[in-house]
Formats: sequence, structure tokens, C-alpha cells
Amino acid sequence: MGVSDEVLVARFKEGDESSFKELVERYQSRVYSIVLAMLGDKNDADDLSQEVFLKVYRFIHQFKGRSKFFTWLYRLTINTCISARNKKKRNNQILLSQSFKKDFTPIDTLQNDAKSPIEILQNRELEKKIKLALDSLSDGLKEVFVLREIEDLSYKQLSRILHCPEGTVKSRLFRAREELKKKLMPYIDEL
Amino acid sequence: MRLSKLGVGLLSSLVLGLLITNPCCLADQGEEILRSAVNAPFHTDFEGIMESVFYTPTKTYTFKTKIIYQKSNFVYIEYLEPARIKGKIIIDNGKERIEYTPVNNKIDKLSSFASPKIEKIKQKALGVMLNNFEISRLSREVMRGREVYVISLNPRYPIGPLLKLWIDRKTYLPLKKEKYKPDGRLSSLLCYVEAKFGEHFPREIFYSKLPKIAANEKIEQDLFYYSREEIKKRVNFPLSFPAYLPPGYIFQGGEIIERERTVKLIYTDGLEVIILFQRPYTDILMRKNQWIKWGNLRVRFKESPHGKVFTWNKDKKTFVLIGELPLEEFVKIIQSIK
Amino acid sequence: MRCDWFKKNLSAYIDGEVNFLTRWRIKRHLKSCTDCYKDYIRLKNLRKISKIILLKSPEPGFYERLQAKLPRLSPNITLKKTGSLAKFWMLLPLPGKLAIGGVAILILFLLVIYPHLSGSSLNINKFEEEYLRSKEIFSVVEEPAPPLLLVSEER
Repeated sequence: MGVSDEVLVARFKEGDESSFKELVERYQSRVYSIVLAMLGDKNDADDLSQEVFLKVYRFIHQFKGRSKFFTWLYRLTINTCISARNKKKRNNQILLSQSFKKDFTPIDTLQNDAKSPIEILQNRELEKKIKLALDSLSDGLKEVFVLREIEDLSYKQLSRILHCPEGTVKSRLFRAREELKKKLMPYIDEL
Repeated sequence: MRLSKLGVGLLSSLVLGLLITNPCCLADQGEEILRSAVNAPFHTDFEGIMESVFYTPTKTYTFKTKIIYQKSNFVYIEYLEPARIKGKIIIDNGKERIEYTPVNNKIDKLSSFASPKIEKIKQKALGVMLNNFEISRLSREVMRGREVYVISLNPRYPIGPLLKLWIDRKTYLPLKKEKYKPDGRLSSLLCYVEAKFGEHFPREIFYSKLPKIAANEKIEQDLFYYSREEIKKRVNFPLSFPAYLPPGYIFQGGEIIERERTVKLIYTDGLEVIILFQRPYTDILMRKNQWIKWGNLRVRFKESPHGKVFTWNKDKKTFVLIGELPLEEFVKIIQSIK
Repeated sequence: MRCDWFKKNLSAYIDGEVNFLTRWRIKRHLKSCTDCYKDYIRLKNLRKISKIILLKSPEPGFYERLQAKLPRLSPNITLKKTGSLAKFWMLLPLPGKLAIGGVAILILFLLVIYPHLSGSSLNINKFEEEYLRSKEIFSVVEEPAPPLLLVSEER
């Protein structure tokens, strides 16, 4: 039985860097999986997962221990993903000299169906389809689905991470699965 | 024939090798690039999004700006993020500088930072900087599809910062800047995340972003920089000057602000600036400060993202000292003020 | 109509997030309704493949790459300081917290509100603004400094 998260956090707060390392190694795969599922780009996922742990490193003193460490970590991960996505969207919108000329406000030209390099390289049909189906979900549905499937978190834990009632978690998960089911029907029927 | 070709090849690679390794050439070329980089913003058509990160011991500040340079001497800066400063606009057309702050819905007019007078000051400061910093590395890289010179400026004195610049080869516009503290920690990182060259826009569209409110005109007050002797004569209270200056620093000039009541003495090493303010006794509001005591002197101190801030009272006067230097240097300056 | 209710609850059922009565009702329904059973199998399959596809590992050397970015932040001193402060605050009984809160309000009043009432003081902001302006003018490698509005807590 390893040392609990809480003990590691307390040690890290005292300045013990090896506890931080243990926390990173404990959660790196899960954080990376969440980020990859949320953003769909392998390169971004690596950078962003590191950003999440950098935030942990910097802001650990803000974690007061009222909730479980992983609740705080996953909330941080989801927030980082959402702001990275918004930032990406804004960057795509912001520098468009042509539109700038016409009307000083840039026009939204973001293409939602742009494929990430990972999708081009992978020839596994199903994986590709699932990623596409997942990408089509709204952030609200995607985050609840990803956290549930990767971490097997209970609805209560999900509601704490996502700051919403358990009923909302339940209905979002239902809607996410319904949408995915429709898009992946031929594949999940075959299994 | 073949031998002569080989000889020419060898000779040219030798010359090239010498050019690359010769420190004199390196310094000359670096100096040339730096001089061009100082003027580049005023002679380039450019549109970019800059991300700036400033590190302090306790906090990291990130903000994003849209920066547009237009030939000649026109600068447009719009703050995009975070929400607290979003919408702030600066327009400098070479004659006047307009600053719009949406939080208080205020427009300030100042004299241009691109005026011939300021240009002259910048050139003087460049000379000071070249004395204080050594161009230690010069290489070429490709950044976002553009060829750039990478220059490292090493301080000749241990208290100075280290600066690394990525300068566009074609336009000499600095595209990335990294500044390190003397202890090697990164203190700021400024980088264009988007950049587009060669676009020219009609000027009216920049001004159309400003609200129609009356400007608060301040143009006249900023233009006068006095020598030590001149400024002494112009104020009705006795002035104090520091007998000690950190290595490499010179006195740049003095200004009179706050309706003739405050004197602002400016010192620089070409890269950093130290300002010593003084005025007849007044109460200074400063939160999050610490107290430092040297003999009879009690000094209030705080660390802000742009440097260290000190304030104290002595001889019926109030002093404020701001700059980015190690604490020991400030102690020496403050103790030497007479 | 009846099946709609079951289908809506299937998602929570496979997650084990229904009460025992609902669980029992769904279990019984699935035995008799082929359509709902098919849906249940689809959901289970979706879960199975999602799990396989979603769980990934970063490239090897994740911590080493992260570590290279850490020294810039040098948080040790801050961590120790704030850590012990937080601990102190957590251990403090409620009356102690209230007393500190009261003193803090008093200090806030004396430092922030009272000086404004007296009207003869200057905010350090004015000096910092002047400093930033001069830095932009005099510093050769012009550096858009963080606007005071962003960094100042004096306002």
C-alpha cells in the first residue's frame, strides 16, 4: 500500500520535491488521457499535461485539503483544457488581417472539422471514429464522459469536480452516451 | 583546376570561420543588429499577437496584446487578455501618444515615444547599454517560418540581467525576448504567438476603436528632462542625490511632475531604469509592504512584478525609489542619498 | 413509453448509480425486453471500447521534461511559508479566526479607508506608473511592461 495523496501533498507543501514527483508519476497517465481526450492532439496533450502539473507545483498552497487531492487535480485539468481550447479558438480568430481590413473585428473562421495529425496517422478505423464522435460533443458533455470513463469516478465525485448537482451529472452522461451511441452504432453493435 | 577550386573553397571557409569566431566581428555585427532592432518598430508594417509572462517570486503575470506597427512611426497596442486590462488601447502616431483605459473610461494624451527627442534619448541609452552588456552569442534560427538572429546580451557587471533576443532577419523586429535575473531565473518572457508582416491599414480604423470622450491633455509636462544643476534651480525645496550608483548606471535626466511638487530622477544602465522620486513630506499609500530598518531610517519595501519599490521619509521629505536590482544595491543607494 | 424510462436510466444503471429498487426494476425489464437489452449491450460495449481508447500514457520521460521547467518557479520558499500559514489557519479555533478577521478589518480600515478620509496622501501607484513610463522610454530594448492595472492591488 503506497502513501496516500494527502500525505504526499502535505510533504510537498513542506518542500519535499520527491513527494511531488510521486504525485506526478501517480497521476501523469490519467491527466494525460483526460487532456488528450479533451483536445485530441498528442503534442498539445503533452504540453498541457505538463502545464497542469506546473500549476499544481505553483498553486499547491491554495489546495486547503477540504476535498480530495484528485478532485482538485481533475478540476485543474479540465479548466486548463477549456482555457487552452478557448485560447486556440481565439488565436485562430484573432489574427486575420483580411477581416481586420474590412471591419476592425476579426471574423470567426474556425473550422470545427479540422483533423488533428494523430487522426491522420492512425489507421485504426474505430479509434478514429470514437475520437471524432467524442470531438463532436460539447465541452460539458465531453468532460463528464471522459472523467467517468477514465477514472470511474462516482456521480458524487464528478459533481464535486464539475461543480454541478448529481442530477446534472446523470443527465449529461446520459446525453453524452446517447450521442456517442448514435454515431458509433455499427461498431458497438458488432462487439 | 580542381586544386584551385579546392583552394578557393578552403580559403572562403577559413574567412567565414574567422568571421564567425572573431569576437570583434561578432560584437560589430551584433551592435548593428541591435541598433536596427531599436528602430525597427517604427519602420515596419507588422501585425502580431504578443504573449507576455512576468515572473515574480510569488506570482506569475500573463497578458496578451495585439501590436501593430505601421510605416512610419505608428504604433497601435490593444490589450486582449486578461479581462482586467482588456480593451486598453495605445496609439502612438509619432507626434502624440493616446492611451485609452476602459476601466475608468479615460483618454490620456502624452508626447510620442517615437518623437525625434525620445529617439535621441534611446540612441544615447543604446550607447550606455553597449558599454554595460557584452554580445556573447550570435546565431541564426528559424522561428515560425522566419529566419531570426539570436543574440545574448551578457551583463559586464554581476548585478545586471541577461537578455536573449530573437530578431527577425528581414525587418530587425524583435520577435521574442527572454530576460533572466542575475541568479539565472527567468524574469520575463515576451513572444509573438502570431505574426504577419507587410500589411498596411488605413489609420482611421485604429482611431475608430476609441470612444468619443474628451482627452486629458498632458503633453507638455513630459517633454522636459533637466540636468542635475537645472533641476535644483527649478524646485523650491532642497534636492538630494545618491552618492552611490550601481556599476554601469548613469544619470539620464530629471523631470518635475505632480504639479511641480515631485522631482523624478532617472538613472539607467541602458536596459534597466532606477527612479528616485522626492517631494516635500507626504503620506504614501502602499499596501503589502514590509519594514526595513537601517540605523535611524525606517524604509517601507514591496516587491512588484516590475521591480522593487521603497519609500521613506527623511529631512522633511518623502522619497520613493523603484527599480529592478538586488536588494543590497538599493541599500547602498538609499544610504548614500545626501 | 415504459421503455423510455428504462432507457433513460440505463446509463446510470451500468455505472451502478441507481437505488436498489430501480436496479431491481431494470434488471427484471432487461430480461423481458429485447430492445432495451440491445441498448444495454451497446452501452456496455461503448464503455469497454472507450476505456481502451481513452486510457493513454505520455511519452517516456514525462517527469524529467517537467522538471526542466520547475526551477524557474523556485517555489520552495513560498511553499514552506504558505504551507505553514495554511496549517496554522486550519488549526486555529473559530473564535481565533473571528478575532483575526476583526483585526484584519480594522487594519484595512486604518490603512485603506482612513488615509483616504484624511486626503493628504499619495498612492504609490502614481510613482509606479511614472516608473513604467520611463522604463518604456529610456530602456533601449523596449519591453511592454505589465500594465499597472493588471498587477497593482493598490487600487
